[in-house]
Amino acid sequence: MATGSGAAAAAADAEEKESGSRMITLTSNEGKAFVVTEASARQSATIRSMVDDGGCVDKGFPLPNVDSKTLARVIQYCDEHGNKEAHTVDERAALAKFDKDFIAELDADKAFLYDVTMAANYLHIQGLFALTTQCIADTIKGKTPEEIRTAFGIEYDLTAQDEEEIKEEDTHA
Amino acid sequence: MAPWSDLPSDLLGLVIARLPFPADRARFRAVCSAWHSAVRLHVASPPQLPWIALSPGPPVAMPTHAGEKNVVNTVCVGSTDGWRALHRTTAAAAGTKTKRHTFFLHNPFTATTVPLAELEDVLDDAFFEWNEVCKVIIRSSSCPDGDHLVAVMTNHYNFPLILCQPGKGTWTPDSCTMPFVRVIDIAFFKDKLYLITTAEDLFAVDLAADKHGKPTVTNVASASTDNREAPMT
Repeated sequence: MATGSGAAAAAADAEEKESGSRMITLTSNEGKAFVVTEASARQSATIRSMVDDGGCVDKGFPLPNVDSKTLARVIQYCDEHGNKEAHTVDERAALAKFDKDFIAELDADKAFLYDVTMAANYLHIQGLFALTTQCIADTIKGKTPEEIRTAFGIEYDLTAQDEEEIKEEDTHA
Repeated sequence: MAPWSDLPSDLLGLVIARLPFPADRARFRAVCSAWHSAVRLHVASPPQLPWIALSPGPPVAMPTHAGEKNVVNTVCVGSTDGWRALHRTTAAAAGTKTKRHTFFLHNPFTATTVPLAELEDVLDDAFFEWNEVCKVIIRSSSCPDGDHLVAVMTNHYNFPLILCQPGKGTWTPDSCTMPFVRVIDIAFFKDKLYLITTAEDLFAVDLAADKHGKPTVTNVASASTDNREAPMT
């Protein structure tokens, strides 16, 4: 009996490993721990390679470049894309709607968009990174330099030499 | 506020990659010093916009010929190698509703216009009441004053394909003949015209000119199966 249940437990363990349902701990730079499924964590190529290299799955992964607020939002994206199926038309539509709402919230808060973009870049979360860079590009499209500065809160710091070069480049373009 | 001007250069490069229009890149460059440097680093030279005339296009701005009146619009219906095929609609005489349709080739680079008067017998107002031109392709000989052969694909059962040699004449298949009535795409390749049908069969059409210079079709062969089954030598 005892050996039987042991084998069953081992089999369940192996199955769990295979289906990627192990839990992984990510720690923000403030020391806050976030427990996520392996499928969710694997959305990040950085974490995926560390897991596949047999790294410190049990100890968890400290992320010194990401704060708790940003990590929570990034995990929200990873959970949606890692834990949910996207096979049927309906499932894919639900995911697309999630992305749309997700980026709309960030679009309204450019400081947060910056943090999420940096985190997506650091963690190599391709889908999220594509989403945020596209959002940045869409904000820039059709705007004057002054409007772009206002949208992102950028100070005008072009030197006279910069201005001269820009003028010159404009005549060549 | 987030330090957007300190966004790493490689990251800015990926944003620039999502700005396909030169005007957006030019304005991006003038935002701040760091963004200016990023554009200089990531954009080698302003991208050349390709000359493409899409079909069917919006009305085309073209100088009207002297004395031409009542032009309703001019639409680009196809383009190949710098030549655009244009379809101009003009209102006919006062009191009638019918419109006059004229066709011509125009090369915007050389400012050359070649009238396609022969098409007007087929593509008249009655044709356009129910049907439309789906595709127009042009095969030009390499010499500047050389001949053109124009192939027009339509959704009209009797004129699914029209070959037109400007100044010489036109050719259309006999009414309701296969494979022409099933054609969904056409292309010139080397000296033949190729057709794709709704059944995804490929046909090669041998082209020739009769003694008056009118285009004719000398042979139509299935190119999709025959070639595959041809014995290897």
